[in-house]
Amino acid sequence: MADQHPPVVITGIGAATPLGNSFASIADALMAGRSGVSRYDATTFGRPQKYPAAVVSDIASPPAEATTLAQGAFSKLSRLEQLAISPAAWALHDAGLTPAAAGGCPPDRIGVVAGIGAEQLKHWEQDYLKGSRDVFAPAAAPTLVQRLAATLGITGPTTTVAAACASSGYAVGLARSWLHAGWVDACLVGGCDILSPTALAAFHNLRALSRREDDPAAASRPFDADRDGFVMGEGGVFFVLERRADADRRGQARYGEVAGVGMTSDASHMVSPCSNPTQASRAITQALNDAGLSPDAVDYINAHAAGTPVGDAAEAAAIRSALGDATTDVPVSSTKSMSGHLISAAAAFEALACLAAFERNCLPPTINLDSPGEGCAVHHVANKPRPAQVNVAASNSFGFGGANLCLVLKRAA
Amino acid sequence: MSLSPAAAVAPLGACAIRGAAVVTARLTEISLLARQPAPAGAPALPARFLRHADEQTVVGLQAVLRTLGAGDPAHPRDLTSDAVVAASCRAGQLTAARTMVGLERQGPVGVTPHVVPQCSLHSLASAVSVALGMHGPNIGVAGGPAAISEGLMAASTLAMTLTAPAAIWLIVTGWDDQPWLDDEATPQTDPTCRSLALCLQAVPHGSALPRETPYLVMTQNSHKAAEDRPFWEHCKRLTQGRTTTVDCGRGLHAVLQPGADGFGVQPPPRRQEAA
Repeated sequence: MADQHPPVVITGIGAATPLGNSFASIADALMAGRSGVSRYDATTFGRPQKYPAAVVSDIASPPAEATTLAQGAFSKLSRLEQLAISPAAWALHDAGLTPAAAGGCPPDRIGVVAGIGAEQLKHWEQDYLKGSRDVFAPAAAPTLVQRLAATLGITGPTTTVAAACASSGYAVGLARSWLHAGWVDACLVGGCDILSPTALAAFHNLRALSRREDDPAAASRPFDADRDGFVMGEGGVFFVLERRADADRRGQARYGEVAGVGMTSDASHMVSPCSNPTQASRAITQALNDAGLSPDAVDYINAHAAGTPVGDAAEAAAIRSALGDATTDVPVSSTKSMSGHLISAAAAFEALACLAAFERNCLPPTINLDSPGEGCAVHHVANKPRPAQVNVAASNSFGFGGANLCLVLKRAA
Repeated sequence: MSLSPAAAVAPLGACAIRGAAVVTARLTEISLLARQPAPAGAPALPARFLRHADEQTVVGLQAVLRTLGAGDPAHPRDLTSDAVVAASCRAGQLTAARTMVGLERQGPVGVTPHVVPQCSLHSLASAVSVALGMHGPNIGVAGGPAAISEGLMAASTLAMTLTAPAAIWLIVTGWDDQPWLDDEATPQTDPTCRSLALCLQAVPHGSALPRETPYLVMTQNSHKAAEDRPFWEHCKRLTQGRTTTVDCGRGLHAVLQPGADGFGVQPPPRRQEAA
């Protein structure tokens, strides 16, 4: 597979996350081991809800030349729309592909693949909380990805992809195939999600969330013996993908290459994480095979590890199974310890963390990892960043319903 | 690249259609459908598997089971490597409405833990994967009125990376009219929920497209806009064995080409209305 298709590279990045709104600021935060988690008040209808959560403190307005929005219109959009449009517009701007940019490709040759797991649920909830009742009588309306494309002046194919917490990673996989097939010449791809009182309550009632409300910065502790659940976050991360030859023709700088994709399903349970690592391991192996690489070529793994007791141990087992003898040499960290779990945007954010490792020659740590838990033995980058030359990184993402995804990224040659 | 539906050579993402079914059910019939045994020839579901499932999941899974039930009983499909693409339209409405009412009246304790795993865009795909033991990728797509076009695109995209004998199960679901609810989240209408299942198998890039078997192919640089049809009309055309073209964005079309026996669509079992 690796030799059959043209290489696909990342030429633009846009982000709005709890750790910053630009590639540089996020890389700074990751390499400083800084937590973006705080105490979040999700009180609704007068009933208090407080959780440790990772909030986007400020969403940058999109560059004016990248959107069709009238002045002042951005601030009136819903939070989910803002977390899609701002990073998507900045990614296009970064890639030099806004309609105003010279040398861009035609708008009908740009596609959009957005990982958004529960757009309708979030829309109905936010609408209900404002006092409206769209959920009782839904009207026909375009989806967010269609509105996003229209706002950015993009007229190529668009789609929304959902694989729970792996959504934006699957989006990257699909977009890469669109470029291979020649359906588009550039593809805006990523994901976004918001903190939602309903989702927080549902995950809390499932006992999936950390209950460390009093010490939020220490709440997200992937692989640690004292982990007690994940910390929900919000954000949006988008990339521009292009075939390498097209990027080179435009003289566009590259952040990295999407070299391999692996996708499998546990087919185990709709809610509970699968303790059997077979299919997660197979996704990692598939991605390496797709990239034409052996396990010992991997310089860093950004783990999905969200801080759940079953999920983290199962992932560690999957990594050991996929890497075999190389396990002892391949550093692993979970940046969710700092960013929280960005749900639909998590996989894109963690791919960004891998690109930061390329750029900074440094591995982001798993913070709050005081003592690895039972079954969590891998080569951890614990608590402090570690200088390292990173040429190949793998990023795992796993979701409800058994979706497993691994992206293999390569440093731009 | 310029591809035509009549092209003899398979482009990337072309698929043979190995089976198809359409299922319709009224809202008031769906809870019964969730409890009834799988059709003859189809695998049995785990006990009470659908008790928390969304209506579109129930109807969508039923279409997959009907497709399987119509297969050769002497040679049941090995589903282990199969993938699932589920394209729904505004799924999860009833549970979402009940959840909002519960949140308002009881606070966080009134929120069911099933709302996210069972009423998100991925839920139907995951339910099919879990119920039938499919270990290929499972994804939900669309969520809005373009469900069929986004579903066909996604299935064709997965076909670029999967090889036979693995199949891609494309399931498209939607309400003919979205239910209307009162302030208690109780339905006031009894609309029809519809699902289409297609069992697709990738045709290797560059090989000949099948002559006798129906197939899906994506065509590009087409200057003729495909007609914008509602989902029920696409189902009707497929049941009648007519070529169906779906617009997937400027210049990109999905073409469903019938074989010698049409698409072999298993028609709706419950009500003999026009598909």
